[in-house]
Amino acid sequence: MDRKDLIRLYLDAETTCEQEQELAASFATTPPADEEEMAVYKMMQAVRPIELPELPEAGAEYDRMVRPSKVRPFYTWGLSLAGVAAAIAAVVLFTGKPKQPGVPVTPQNDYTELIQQIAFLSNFNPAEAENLEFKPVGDGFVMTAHFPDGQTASYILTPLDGGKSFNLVALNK
Amino acid sequence: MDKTLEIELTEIRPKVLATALKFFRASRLDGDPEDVVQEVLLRLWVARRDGVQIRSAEAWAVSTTKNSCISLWRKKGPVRSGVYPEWLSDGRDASTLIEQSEAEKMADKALERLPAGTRRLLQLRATGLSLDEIAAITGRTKGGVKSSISAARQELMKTFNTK
Repeated sequence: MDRKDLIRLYLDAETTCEQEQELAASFATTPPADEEEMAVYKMMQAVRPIELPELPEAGAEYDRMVRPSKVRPFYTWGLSLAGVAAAIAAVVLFTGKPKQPGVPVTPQNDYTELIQQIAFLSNFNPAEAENLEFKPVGDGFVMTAHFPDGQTASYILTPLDGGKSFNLVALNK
Repeated sequence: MDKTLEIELTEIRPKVLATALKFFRASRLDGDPEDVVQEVLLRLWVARRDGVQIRSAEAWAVSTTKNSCISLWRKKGPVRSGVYPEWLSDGRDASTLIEQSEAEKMADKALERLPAGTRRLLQLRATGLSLDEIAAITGRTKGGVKSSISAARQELMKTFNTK
């Protein structure tokens, strides 16, 4: 195929990669014969192949830059929950067991439940929840966390000592 | 290049895009994550062409995306090459070189007038990719790629013909 035919196909993007290499190679040996060929030559010179520079090994740097935005809320919530759990423990230790009318429990069972509550809270990560819902109930409210896997976890937050501290009780998950 | 590579590129694309998007959001990097995606997929194409052994293309692509994001973050640019054919270099003096340099600047300006996406299509083609492979890398249809390249070449012809 002569150069004129290749140029016509090239302009219509009908050339194969090999034909375009052939056209470029022809300019390397034979100068453009007219204005049209010169224009095609200039175009081929202007559009350079993409050069790919050596990349750094930067996976760790990427992870450092991307991770903090996800991790920070977890720490914030973790600290808050640890504070709430400590408050519950303090309330129970200094003021006795929380009032639970109509549900007779022995002190031993009460502390077992408290330990279970703290263990449960330590595993709770609201940062993973899709949304948190708060519904006022009496003096306190019910907090429900909705997780992406369809599970929910509910907690009752009730004020103690006129709102100076709160009691957090896990209902289910 | 065989059909398998086009399928591979198409399948890996969403994962690469997600990795790049995550970085752009976290770093507030100014730019288009799509540029990173196309560069990474082009690197995979080059690696396959050169017969580089890759155990998991997806893991390789994600790792390369991370490196590419950081590289962009550090603002490393490509190096231009200046290779002239024999007939042009014959008897060139300093003034010819300056003229050539001016011509290159004008050519660059003509290219810059094209939309970035179209410019990238021309560059991918000049790198040696088939229309099918460009379509897989850019996430466009083969017909769309072909008509964009053709229109851009016709447009550049008008520009270079009047210079």
